[in-house]
Amino acid sequence: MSRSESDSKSDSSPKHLQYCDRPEWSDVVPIEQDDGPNAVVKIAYSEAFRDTFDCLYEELAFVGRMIESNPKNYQFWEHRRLIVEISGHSSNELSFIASIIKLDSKNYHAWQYRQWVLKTYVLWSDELQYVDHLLQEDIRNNSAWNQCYFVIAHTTGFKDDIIERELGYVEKRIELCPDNESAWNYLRGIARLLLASLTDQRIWNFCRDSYENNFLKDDFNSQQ
Amino acid sequence: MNLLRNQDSSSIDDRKPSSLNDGFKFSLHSKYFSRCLTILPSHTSSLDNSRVTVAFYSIAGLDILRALPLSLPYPATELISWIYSLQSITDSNVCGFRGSSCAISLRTTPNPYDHTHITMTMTALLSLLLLGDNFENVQRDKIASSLARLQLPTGAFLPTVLSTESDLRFVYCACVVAFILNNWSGINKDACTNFILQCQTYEYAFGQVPGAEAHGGSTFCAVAALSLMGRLKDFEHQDDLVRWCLQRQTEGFNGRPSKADDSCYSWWIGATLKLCKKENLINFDENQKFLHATESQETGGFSKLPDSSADPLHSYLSLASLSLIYHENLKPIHPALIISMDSVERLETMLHAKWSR
Repeated sequence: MSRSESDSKSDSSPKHLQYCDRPEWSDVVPIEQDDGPNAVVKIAYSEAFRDTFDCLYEELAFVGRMIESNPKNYQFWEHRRLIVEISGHSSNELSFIASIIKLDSKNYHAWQYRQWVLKTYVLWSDELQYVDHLLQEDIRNNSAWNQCYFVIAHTTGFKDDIIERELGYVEKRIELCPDNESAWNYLRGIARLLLASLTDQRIWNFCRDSYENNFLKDDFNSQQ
Repeated sequence: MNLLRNQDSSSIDDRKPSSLNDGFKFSLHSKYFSRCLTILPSHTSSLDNSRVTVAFYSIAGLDILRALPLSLPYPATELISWIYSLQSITDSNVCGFRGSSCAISLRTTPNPYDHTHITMTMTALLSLLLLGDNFENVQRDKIASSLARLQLPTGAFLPTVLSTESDLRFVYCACVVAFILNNWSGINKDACTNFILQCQTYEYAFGQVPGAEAHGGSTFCAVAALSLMGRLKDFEHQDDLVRWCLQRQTEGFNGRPSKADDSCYSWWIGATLKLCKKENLINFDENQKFLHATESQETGGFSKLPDSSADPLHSYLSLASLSLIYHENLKPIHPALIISMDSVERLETMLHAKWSR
């Protein structure tokens, strides 16, 4: 089937032929919308609307399969974003993206799309928990550290108490794994927000202790 | 700590230049690029709609190896007329180049999906320049004004009018096109600069779009675009960016923390450091060691990772990275335009001078 035949302009013409009746779409099995048993604010969709949307769901499922086999092809991600934008069918997106991130926790396209979904559909509530879960799996996952910053910047903002909380969070993780560039970069990033300098006493003490406990000792030992 | 191993009190010029004996198989690489200009294997079919980029890497590869026009598999005039056949002048609103003829079925009936693409326009123009063309058949004014149709209110650029994507890649391409044409009338530089600066993250490098993770490729696009616009002074924390870039080197370079080395980052990060005038902090010996591991001994060319197969992009960018410091076998390279310095000189002294008369 030629997927490029869906010229949207023809939809509005009086002679609009439904997709389900077009020979070139005969191999597309439309997926009907599932509103659940007790749907509220139901809409009496027109035939043409239902026809088009059922095909969009099929398209969403199709592009999902394409992404699973080509997770680094950015055109597929962009196509998926467009279908979700047009259909508004966003409720499965975070779990779909999570399934792709599970295959490669640093997939740039997946993270970029995830940020778009979070922002567009205001789905922030569980995101820091998700990030924490990923950091428990891999404390060096820089994409997760970046996401942590992204979520805070778009929700609570870096107010003083949030900065304190985040300093505690990142310090604990540096103690667990002192040579982790991602955590140090995160610390530098939020330290700058705090004072526009790195001379804050708390951070200074933390860095000195960390240096003395980890790096100085290592240097000293390796020289013996 | 071994990043600074190469540093001593002598200046870069005093250092031993990379010599003929650094072991790279340069003549084999010429053959590789020459072959890429003729035919590619079937597994590369996903490149079909961007074939002009492959032509660019190959032509630029031969140029930097000082093998132009001698090693071209076709006369330069033939290549030039193929590139011109990709120029789309039918659409008066958006003029530029397509990546190939793959979306053209019948030339008499225009296909709505047959569009010019900003990356293809950029690589087509760069290729014409390298082949010695005088741009007389380039729709210079139309292409320059088309850029305005592709710039969004955010300052970012779309690659084509039909597209919904916009990020630093296309910002960079737009700036290269305007620079080559010496015509910035289609670009709102303030908006563009503003978009770029919004992509700078808490790591002080740049992500593809605002909020996205800092990334070696986007960082090059950001810094090179600022440099081409003459706006490099506009961004703060350059020292922090340099620090992030230096952290990217292990042996070769990676594009993000805790990722594996990949030969293309030897260029993206190396060139970013050069644009910040800090290339003397690169450990070039270690970089060479990594690029040796990605060099294809049988076919020529370089691959992304050690022991995999070569491709035109990684082949060209690996050589480009080697030429960031003086190299006997390679022409010096322009760190923002990714072509030889002498061709940029020809662009400025011959073409730009002629156009401004």
